[in-house]
Amino acid sequence: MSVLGWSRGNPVAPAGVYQRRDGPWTVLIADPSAAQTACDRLALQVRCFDSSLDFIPVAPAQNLAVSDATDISQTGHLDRLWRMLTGRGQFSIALAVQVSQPLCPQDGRGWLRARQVQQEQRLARDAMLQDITTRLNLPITPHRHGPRGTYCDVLTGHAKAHDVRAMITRMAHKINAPANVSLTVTGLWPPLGFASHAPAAEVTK
Amino acid sequence: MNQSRTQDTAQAQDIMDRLSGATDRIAIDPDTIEQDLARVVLGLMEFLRQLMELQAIRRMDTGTLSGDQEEKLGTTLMKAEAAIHDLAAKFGLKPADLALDLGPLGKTI
Repeated sequence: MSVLGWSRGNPVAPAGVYQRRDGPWTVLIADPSAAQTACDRLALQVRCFDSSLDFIPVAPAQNLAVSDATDISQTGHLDRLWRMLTGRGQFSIALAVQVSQPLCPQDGRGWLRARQVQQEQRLARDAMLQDITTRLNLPITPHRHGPRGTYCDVLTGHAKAHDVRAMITRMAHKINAPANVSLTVTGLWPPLGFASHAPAAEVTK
Repeated sequence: MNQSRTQDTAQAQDIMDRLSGATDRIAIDPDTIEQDLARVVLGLMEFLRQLMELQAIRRMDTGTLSGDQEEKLGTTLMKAEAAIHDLAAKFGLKPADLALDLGPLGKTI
């Protein structure tokens, strides 16, 4: 059985999602045949989220066993997550870069110069994302960097989601970005970026 | 900045990258001990290599490296990266797998 997350009370779960009571927590479980891959588990979590079910999601890649979920639920760490995440979802923001051709210099100096340029572009994207998210005054995840762009997640309540999306768009219009950079906002998603089960304080506000 | 779209391949790639790994945490499993240890060791090596790369870039920015030094440092770091990636591939690891999650300290890469 694959654990999708934790909820409380007797939530109404969508088809294909089962529940197991564990003290004050209700562990949301999927049949292994319906949750073989991380994408399958994410799809089920999105279905739960879209049906207005409040829950703390497990990272889909983890494929957490029920026994492990029980251990985690006894640590007390979930209480803090529940207070932070209940009634909320996340927007995922991407600053994507269109790269025409990857630079593959053969000499050491050219290679180092190319890395210097990449570092400058990365810092510029960091600054742009920072400009967009700072005024939201909402919790955001640390920026993630990939070869195609820079990404972060913003936590927001369901009730304010429309306003937050509009504000992100408004802020995006104000920043001065190069022509090869585009902004993408998707959501609302389950707050996966904020649901680390380790007692980490990665979220900034 | 004038684009705000609901779908984008880069973001899809980001999501898939985050979904594709078994887990970001270091997990030692008796059945995959060689790969798990390789991930830890090579992850630390790549982390140190990236620190050296950042320091080299910082020295370039401040103009404290001669042309010869830039060439030598760049060649060393370039070859070190290739060697680490080659070794990782032998254990079935992608470069992205070398990012180690240190919990409260964040990721190494």
